[in-house]
Amino acid sequence: MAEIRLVEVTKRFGSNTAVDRINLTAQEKEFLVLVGPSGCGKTTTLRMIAGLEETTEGEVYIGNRMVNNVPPKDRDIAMVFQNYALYPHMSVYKNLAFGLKQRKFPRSEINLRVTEVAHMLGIKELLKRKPKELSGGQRQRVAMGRAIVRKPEVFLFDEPLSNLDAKLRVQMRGELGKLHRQLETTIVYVTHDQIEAMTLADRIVVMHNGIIMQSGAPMDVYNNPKNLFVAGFIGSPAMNFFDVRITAEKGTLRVNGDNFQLTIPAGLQDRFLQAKDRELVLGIRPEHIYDRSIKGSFAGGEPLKATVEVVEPIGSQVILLASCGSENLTACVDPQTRAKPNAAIEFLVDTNHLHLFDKQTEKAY
Amino acid sequence: MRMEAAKIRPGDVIAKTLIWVFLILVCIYCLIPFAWMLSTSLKTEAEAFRMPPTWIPLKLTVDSYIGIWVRKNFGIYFFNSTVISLATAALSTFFGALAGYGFSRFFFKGRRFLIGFFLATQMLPGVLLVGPYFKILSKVGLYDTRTGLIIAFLTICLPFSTWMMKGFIDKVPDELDQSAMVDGCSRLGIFFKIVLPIVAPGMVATILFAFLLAWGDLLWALCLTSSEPMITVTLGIARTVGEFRIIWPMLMAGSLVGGMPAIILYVFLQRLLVQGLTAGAVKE
Repeated sequence: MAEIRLVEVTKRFGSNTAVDRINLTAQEKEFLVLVGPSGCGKTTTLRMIAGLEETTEGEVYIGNRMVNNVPPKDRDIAMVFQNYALYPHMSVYKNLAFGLKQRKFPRSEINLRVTEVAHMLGIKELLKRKPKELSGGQRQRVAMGRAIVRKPEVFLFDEPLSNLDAKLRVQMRGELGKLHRQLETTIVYVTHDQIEAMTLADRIVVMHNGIIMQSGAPMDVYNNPKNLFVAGFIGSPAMNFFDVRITAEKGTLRVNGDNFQLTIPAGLQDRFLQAKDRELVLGIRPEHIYDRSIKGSFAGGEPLKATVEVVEPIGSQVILLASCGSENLTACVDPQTRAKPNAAIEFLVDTNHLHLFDKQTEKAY
Repeated sequence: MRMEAAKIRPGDVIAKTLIWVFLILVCIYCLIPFAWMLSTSLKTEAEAFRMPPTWIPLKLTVDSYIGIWVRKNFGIYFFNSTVISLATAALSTFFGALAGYGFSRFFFKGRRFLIGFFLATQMLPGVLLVGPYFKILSKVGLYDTRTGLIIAFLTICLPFSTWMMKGFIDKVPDELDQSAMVDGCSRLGIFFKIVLPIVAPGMVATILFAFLLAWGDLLWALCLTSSEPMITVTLGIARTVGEFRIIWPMLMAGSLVGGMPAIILYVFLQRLLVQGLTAGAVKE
């Protein structure tokens, strides 16, 4: 169990900067998830921790040791790859035992550990099979087993669930969380799937263009995004954005959009006052927009008129895609809604959860 | 509808028959030389010249088969050919795999030029190289030795083996190397324990290619060896053609026996060879 520390780490591929002077610490036993869109530098960061990629600048520490010049095999890490990277010519047993064999463990110890891990992951019956005889989920388990069996200081996961079907992904996600609690090891996990990030992480680190945009506990990042990118990336369906300005009338702050006006509640007034006279972007999460026609659903919000364009029932809720003046919005409403395409609708917005961003700096107020 | 579809139409029968006739003709065309070789090798020398020729020998004899081993030194020729071909095949495949791995995994300066250069050496005809080789081998005292011939064959086989092996190794995902690296393997360890076992079918194809090239060569053996103890099978067969006399039954017996190792290798390694030649043709 070791802490991982990245200090001012940069990685350039020719003239292209993949990771730009990032500082990051994964505490001992922490489940840290790097999340971001493709090409944001999260996998490169992980590979630099693994030693599969050299850093252009900066220092990487595992525990108290700087590992910049330490080869991957001596970093005491284990990595699970996106495509599992199982050795196709070896049986599951040999795949699991390979790392231990390389480290010259006695045969009895290898046997003991492999059996233990196989039992833990429920792959005991598969030990004699070759990887091609396994299903996607089974391969995934073997890949994880190969990492666990070595009992390393640090686990690195590179989008390990992205090749699985949706149902299996949910199942494996649960098992991964359970495994972390069982093993109590530092994990750095890379994904572009924000649900995976939210459900698994002790702390998530949102990356974009090689820069860390925000890091924090999942719900903290979700509730208090520091900038437009994080606000738009975390949350599904994504947050709604509207170009707005703030005006003050008789001591009350109002948000003025293209086709709507919302009164800012007292709790947010002090914070939003500094945004007066600036070009702003208002953010409202889809779950904070309610269908006014449903009785007893929500009462305290501000009205917002729109026209429904698409109705998407997904069972537990209905997603409404609507237009409000020149802007589009998404709302997740109660399944009792009677909203129909091309019909007018009146929403209620829970103004206690408004987010305001500066249009120029994209930073949150 | 299904009944109609299942019905055999007269057009199909004709097409099928034509295909069969065509295939049989191709087979006959390919096999007649071998049948003629077999027939002649079992004849007496006099019958081999008989006009009109006979397909089935009037007097069956295995005299020429005994002759090539007793009156000619086919034992030595076989030994020489086997040693030279096996060494060429093993060395060129091994070093080709090493070089192919390097080209596949390491991105160094001049890599593209070197790969192209390797291929370009294949464009030079053997006849062009044999003269310089004769001179070099004579200078270093390797003329008329098996080692000299092996070195010469390696220059022809190695570039092709490198290209072939690079192609097979390119198909092995890089993540396997990285995974093995994290597991504690060195680069050489990865090459021997991970990459080579996976590209085994490709290696078989490469081994076969190099072996057959060395086994079937006449030009280099003719130019780079001279004494009887260094003669290879092909050269031994060629030498049954005398200035004033050709012993046809012995020539045919020698050719048939000389072709056997190649045929046997093909039969046994065919499955692996096909796998090797088609590896990566479809997405797995």
